[in-house]
Amino acid sequence: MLAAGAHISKEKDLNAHIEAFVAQIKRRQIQGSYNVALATSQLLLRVLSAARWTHIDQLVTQIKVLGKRLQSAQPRELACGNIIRRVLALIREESEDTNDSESGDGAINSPLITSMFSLLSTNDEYGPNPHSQSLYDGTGRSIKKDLKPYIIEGIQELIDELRSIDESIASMGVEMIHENETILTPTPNSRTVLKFLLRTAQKRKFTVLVVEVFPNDVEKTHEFALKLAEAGIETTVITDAMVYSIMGRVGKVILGTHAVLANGGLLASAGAAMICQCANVHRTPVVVCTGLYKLSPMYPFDIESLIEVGDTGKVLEFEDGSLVDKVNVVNPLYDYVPPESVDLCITNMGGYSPNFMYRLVIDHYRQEDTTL
Amino acid sequence: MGPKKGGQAGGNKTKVGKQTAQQNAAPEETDQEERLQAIVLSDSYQTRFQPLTLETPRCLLPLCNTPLLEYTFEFLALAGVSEVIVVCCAHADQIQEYIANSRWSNFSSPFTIETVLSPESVSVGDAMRDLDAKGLITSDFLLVSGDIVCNVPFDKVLTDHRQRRAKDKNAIMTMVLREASPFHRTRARAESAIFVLDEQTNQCVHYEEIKTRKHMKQISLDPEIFNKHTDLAIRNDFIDCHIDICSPDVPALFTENFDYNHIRKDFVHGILTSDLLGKTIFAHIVTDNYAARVRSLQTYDAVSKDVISRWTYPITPDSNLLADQTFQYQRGHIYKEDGIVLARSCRINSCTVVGAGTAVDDGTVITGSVIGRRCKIGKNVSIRSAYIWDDVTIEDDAIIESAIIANGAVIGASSHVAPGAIVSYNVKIDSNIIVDGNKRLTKYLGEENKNVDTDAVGEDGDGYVYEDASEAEEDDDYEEIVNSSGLVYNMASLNASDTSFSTVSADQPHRKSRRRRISTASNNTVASEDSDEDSFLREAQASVERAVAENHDLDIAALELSTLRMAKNAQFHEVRAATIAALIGRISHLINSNTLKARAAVESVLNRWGPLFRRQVFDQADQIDFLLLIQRDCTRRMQGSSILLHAINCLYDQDILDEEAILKWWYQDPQRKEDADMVKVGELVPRWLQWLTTAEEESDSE
Repeated sequence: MLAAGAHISKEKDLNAHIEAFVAQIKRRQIQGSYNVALATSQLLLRVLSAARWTHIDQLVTQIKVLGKRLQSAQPRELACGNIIRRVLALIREESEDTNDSESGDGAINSPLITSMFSLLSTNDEYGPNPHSQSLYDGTGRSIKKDLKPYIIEGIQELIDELRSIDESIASMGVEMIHENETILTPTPNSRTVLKFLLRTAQKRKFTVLVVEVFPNDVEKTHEFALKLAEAGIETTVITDAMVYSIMGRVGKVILGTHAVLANGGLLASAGAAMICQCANVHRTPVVVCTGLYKLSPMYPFDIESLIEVGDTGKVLEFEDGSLVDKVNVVNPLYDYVPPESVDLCITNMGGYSPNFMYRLVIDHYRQEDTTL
Repeated sequence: MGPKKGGQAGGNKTKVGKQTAQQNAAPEETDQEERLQAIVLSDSYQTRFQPLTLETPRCLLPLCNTPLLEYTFEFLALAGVSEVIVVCCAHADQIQEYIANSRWSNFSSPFTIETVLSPESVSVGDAMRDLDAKGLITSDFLLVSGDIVCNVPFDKVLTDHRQRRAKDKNAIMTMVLREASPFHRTRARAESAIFVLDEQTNQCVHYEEIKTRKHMKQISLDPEIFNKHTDLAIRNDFIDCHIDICSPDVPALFTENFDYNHIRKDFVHGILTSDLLGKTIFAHIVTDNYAARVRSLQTYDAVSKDVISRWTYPITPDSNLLADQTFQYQRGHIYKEDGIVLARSCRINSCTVVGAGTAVDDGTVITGSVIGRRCKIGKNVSIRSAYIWDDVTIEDDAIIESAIIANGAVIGASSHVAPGAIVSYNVKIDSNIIVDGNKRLTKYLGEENKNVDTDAVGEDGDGYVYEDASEAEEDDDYEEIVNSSGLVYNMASLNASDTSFSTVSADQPHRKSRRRRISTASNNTVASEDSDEDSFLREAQASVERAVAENHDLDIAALELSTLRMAKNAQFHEVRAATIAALIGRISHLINSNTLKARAAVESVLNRWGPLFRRQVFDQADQIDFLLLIQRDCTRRMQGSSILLHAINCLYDQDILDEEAILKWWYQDPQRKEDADMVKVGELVPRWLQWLTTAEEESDSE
């Protein structure tokens, strides 16, 4: 009786957490890919440690239902869906691993497409476990106890990966930026780019041009420039209109992004598409710094449905009554940058061509989870 | 009745819990610092949204398919409020039921929510006094009405306020003001004000309501202001949506000053012009985010447009505030829910919201409008800037422009609803009818029995034209007079041309701003042995008699009465009884001393003092009670029957009594002929009634 009561209160508690997460993400109290990814994975950790299941499919359905709910709270924060799919893939993998090790025909059940990553990594980590029950044991009952710690451990690793992602990307900076090179960056709200530049500045001397992406990130641009300048990097803030004229002198364009789509296209701050086009014309390389949690298995069939439209008040002063009444203002927060405009994506797993992104998608997500 | 009772019980229970919490929290100052209470006044104490608000409270009217109250709660959640107290007055049961079923009373809600009934309050002042009496307020609190839309991040406002409070205990209030040009669409035309602010500290040193009708050309400032403050800004470019952070002193001050009703006109103005109190009020000026209040039909229109065009981001339709909403954003500020059936040839133009389950047929064009759920819209219909709520049926070839069509209404084929019209709940309009822009149609009957107005809604229609009864019924004259006819809304929709401006503010008679008075000395005369009721009757009667004898100002007499009422916690019934006793006594005295004939005596007294009853008699039940009291009183007088007759006639002329109440009193109320005296005193009335009915028939046949 007592245990049942405790269970109910626990479930209630969990539900409250989920509700609060949904409300916060709707209110944009959790905003930005990194924060959303971190919050989602922490929520999932909580859900999984409380979850009870008799069959692994049950767990998968549970998580899928939850995922759908979280995703629909703010469909344009793709990172939320990405993390859920990552966790789903993790669960499936764990269950299959256990299954394989028992039935011994892992070769058949393992994914037909093995990418080059799996060539390098070994599966020994969660390999055969003599104490684990098989997925279908003699009584027909399925396992539940053994998988849970592995899944939780997997999510913990995911969180650790999220936390260290900027570091691992930043460590590649030295290979990317030459001495005395001029770098242009139009995404000053990106933590990844900031760390990338700061870390590289310890070894290299270079100049950064920060584009003031009006209207949404103007203040952040100035903070960003200040931080760079404090670290001893020669920093200039330029307006959006100057990009074309200055592009001839730029060595590389370094972008942060909100999301990377399966075709290698990006959703980056509004204005980025134009700057990338401009870089293409000047044959200036465009480099994107992104953590893998931003990689989404979605294809940009309907670009509009992926682009968030923000606060109109940033574009036009609300005080101006006569204008407010007469004009229709739209303030998209993101731009879709087609994969052709991007030369290289630097992820925490190394640098890849945007054309190769679909392989990373296959490695990290399961096809059956693409639609939650 | 059921939910109401339940709610009350619940409210009491939580109150008990709160009191203990209060005791616990009292020693820890720091704990109080972090908790923020919010008082939501769910009633607006206005009638501008009638006839819509006859059936639904204003805060539950849908704005872009979401009840207004949701926007307020969303703002409070953003502001980090931890405890919300909703003060309910009109339609309290509906509000309580809504809150009980909403996600805000869920365990995952960011704040605890509690509803408090204050059924007798007729103004913000009354509600505040009620709150003070209940002792619910423990620390600085946020005072908002239930109809605001706001996305201002509140931590800065709050820290500023707390710093000021820490420095000076007298800084009792911070008003949040949004900058906006004087003719901004989101500003309520009828209510604008001049704020005189200290440029450095943002202290508000003077507040003056703009009386547009009187073409106010000057305001007077106390010269001392210039001695105290070096830089003054006199500004008229704010949207004042009545979001205030108040200290617990504020409700106490309301209690001290019985005549404060309006939070700005009376309270702020009063505090600032008073030398005695030494309290200060500050303004927090917001330049970046959005803050507005739906206070009239015109602002309903404007705020809807603002929400649709995402000035209120992230509070937009596609953030789906209600759990069952599924809005998605499309280019050009079009929001569609799942499960909409759109014919191939219909056109949904920009700035439109369409709710789930709605079907739009061929050739229909919808521009800049909000369509609710489960609406059926026929072929070749044209809808422009209209607000159509749930379950509305619009038949083929109808035209709807800038109107509000409430739930369940039916608009017949080829009908035309002109800009500014309001079609209230379940009204049915026949085919080929033109609904004029100033018409408000309703089906809500209340206590009245009106026939279907076939001129307005057609042969097969259902509903009648709503007449703005606010002038006759509304007690709170100075609050209410702002004309709530379709005009304002009309102007708003025509607002595209700036030239129409000068006429916008017409029709807004304002009461002279009343000077604040400290409560009168009459409290001192309380004879404590008496039961409160008796002593109240005696004192109130004496007070009115004194006022009549010494020919006081009407305002003063009213104020004295309300002071007494508050002090003794008396009902309006007793106030009426006392006033009637005093006035009829006076009339009878005039007659008996042969100064005047009955008719002249009644007229001289009631024409002068009749308006007192305006603040005592509110609805039909009150009127009937009032009539019975007069009748009862007249039985004691000589020539009672003719006093009664003339009094009724006189009060009817003054619109204090309406004919339905009189007829009901005469024909239906059993108490009227309780005993022989009562019957006898009423012997002259039938003749007058006959006159009344014939007069009405004549006016009808015109």
